[in-house]
Amino acid sequence: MPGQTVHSGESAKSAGRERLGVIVIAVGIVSVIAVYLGLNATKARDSGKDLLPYQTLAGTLPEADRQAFRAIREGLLIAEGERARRGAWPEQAPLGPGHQWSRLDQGAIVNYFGVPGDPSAPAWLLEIQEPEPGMAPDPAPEDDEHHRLPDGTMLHTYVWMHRYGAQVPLGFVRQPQNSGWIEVFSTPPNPVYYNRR
Amino acid sequence: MDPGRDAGDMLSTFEVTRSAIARPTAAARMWALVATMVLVAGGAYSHEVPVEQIVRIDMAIQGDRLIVRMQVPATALIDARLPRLSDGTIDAAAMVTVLPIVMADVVRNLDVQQDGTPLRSADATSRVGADRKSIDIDATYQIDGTAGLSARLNAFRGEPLQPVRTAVRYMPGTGAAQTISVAGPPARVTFDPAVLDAVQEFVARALTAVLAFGDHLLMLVCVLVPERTMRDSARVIATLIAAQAAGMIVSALAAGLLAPALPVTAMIASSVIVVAAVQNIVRARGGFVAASTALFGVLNGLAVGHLFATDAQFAGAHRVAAFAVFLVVFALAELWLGAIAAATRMWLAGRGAADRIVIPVASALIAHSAVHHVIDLGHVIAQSGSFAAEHAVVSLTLGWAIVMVLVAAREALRAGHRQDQSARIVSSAGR
Repeated sequence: MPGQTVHSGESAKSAGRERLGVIVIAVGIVSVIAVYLGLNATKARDSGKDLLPYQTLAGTLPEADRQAFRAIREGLLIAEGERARRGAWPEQAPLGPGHQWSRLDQGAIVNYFGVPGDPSAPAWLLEIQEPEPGMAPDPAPEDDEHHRLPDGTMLHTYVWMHRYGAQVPLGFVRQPQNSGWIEVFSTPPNPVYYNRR
Repeated sequence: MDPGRDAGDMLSTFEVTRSAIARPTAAARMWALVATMVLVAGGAYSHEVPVEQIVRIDMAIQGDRLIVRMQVPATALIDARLPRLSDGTIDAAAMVTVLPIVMADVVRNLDVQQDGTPLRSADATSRVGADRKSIDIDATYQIDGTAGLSARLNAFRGEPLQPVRTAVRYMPGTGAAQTISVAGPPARVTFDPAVLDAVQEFVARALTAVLAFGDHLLMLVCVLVPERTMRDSARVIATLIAAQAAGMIVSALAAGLLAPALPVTAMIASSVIVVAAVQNIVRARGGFVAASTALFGVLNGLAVGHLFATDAQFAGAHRVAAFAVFLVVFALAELWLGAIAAATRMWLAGRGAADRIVIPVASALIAHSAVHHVIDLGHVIAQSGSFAAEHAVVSLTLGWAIVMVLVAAREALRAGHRQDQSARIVSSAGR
C-alpha cells in the first residue's frame, strides 16, 4: 500500500507555535542562569563567602597590607627564577620592604618569614612546598597557589599574615592555620586543586 | 556489742520493712518519682551561648575633618595579648608600651578612605577605658567634602564564643545620624552613598534574594506543578507576589517588632508548602490553593522584608528608594521565574505528561524538602530555650491537624446537608 502524506495547515501552525513556545522558555531559562552566574561571578571576586575562617582575600585588607601582599607575590617570582637557575632557594629574597626576611627550611617546605620593623604591622609568611620525592605529578593548572618551574616541578605556594607581627616568635611554622595566621589569596582558591596539608 | 541496741535496730529495720510491705503502692510511687527525676535530669543539658562583643564607633563630620571615637572591648583584641591583672581587667601600668601598638593596628585596620584613597590620621590618641575592660581610641582625618567616605569595619577577632560586632554611629554634616552594624568578616562600608549607588546595590541584593534557593521558589514550583490554565497560573503567581509585597511592607515598617517572631513565621511558611504539596495530590479547590498561597506569601514576605531591613543600613539616607527598588525588582524577578515555570508546565501538559505520576511525585519531593526546612527551623526555635519553643514542631503539626479536622468537619456537614436536600427532593418527587 503506498504511503500517504497528509498536509494540515492547522498542525503546521501548532508545530510552529510549539517551537516558538520552546524557544521562549529556553531563552527565559538561559537568561535566569546568566543572571545567576553573573551575580555570583561579580560577588565571588571580592567575597570571602566560600573561604575557611582562617582565610581572607587580599582585596579586603587595608591598603598597606595589600601592597605588602603584592610585593611578596612579585618577589616570589624572582625567587623562583633563582631556584630554577641554581637549584636552591635564595637565602634572601626581595619579598618587600619594611620586613626582616629569614629563610627557614624543613624537608620539602621552605618558609620565608618576615618580621615587621613596625611592631603594629603584621608578620608575613611565604610558604613554598616542593613535591616530596616519588610523588605523582600534580595535574593542577597554574594559579596563585600552583607555580610550575621550567623543569616541570610543581610548587605549592601559600601566603600568610599574622597581626601584631612583632609578637610572633620567629621560627619554622608547620601548620600556620593553627597558630593565628591568616592565609591571604588574591582570588578565592580553586576548591578542586586546593590541598592544604 | 550491745544486745539491747541490736534488738532496737532490728526492730526498727523490721518496722521499716513491714511499713514498706504494708504500703507497696507508696514505695513504688516514691521510686517511680525518683526514677523520673533522674531520667528527666539525665535528659537535661546545657549549651554555651555565643555572646557578642560590641565595638562602638562614633564618626562625625566637623567642617573639613572626620572625627572618629572608638571603644574597643579587650575581648575583641585577642591577637594583641593585652596584659591583664588577676581579676581579668587590663593592667594599665603594663599597657604603656602596648597601647600605641594596639592603637596603630586598630587605626590601620579601620583604613578610612575617601573615594578609594586611604586617609592618614596624624593625631590618634588612646587610653585604657574607665572600666579597664576596653580601650578608647580617638582619631581625626582631614577630608575633602563629605562624599565617598568609607571604612573597613569589624576588623577584630574574639574568642569563638565571643564573636565581635562593630556598631557605628555616623553623623554626616547635615541630616540624621546613621547607624551601621557589621558582624562576621571585615567589610568595607561606604557612608552616606549616593542614591544611584544605593539603587544599584539593592537591585543586586534583590536579584540575589530571588535567585537564592529558598522557600519562595519551592512554593512557586509547588503551586505550578498541577496543570492550570494561563489565567489560573497568572492568578496564583499574582496572589503569591501581592501577598509577599504586603508582608515585605509590614516587615519593613515594623522590623524591630517582628524580628523575634521571624523563625516561627518562617517555620509556618515552610509548613504551608507541605500543605500546598498535599493540596496538589488531593486536587484541592482553587479557593484553598489561593488561601494557602496568600498565607505563605505574607509569611515569606515578612522574612524577605527582614532581609531588606538588615541590609537597609547600607542605603544611607536613601532607604525608601532602596526599599522601592528592592520590592519592585524582587516582584518582577519572581514574576519572570513564575512565567517560565508556568510556560514550561503548560508545554509539558501539551506533550501529554503523565500527570497521575508527575504531580504526586513532584509534590512529594517538594513536601520532603519543605519538611526538612520545618525541622531545621524548629531546631533554631528550640535554641531559644523555652518549653513551648522546644515543642514548636509538635505545636505546628497539631495546629495543622486541627485546621484539617475543622475543614473536613465543615465539608462533612455540607455533604450531609446536601444529602438531606437530595433525599427531600427525591421523596417530594415520589409523592
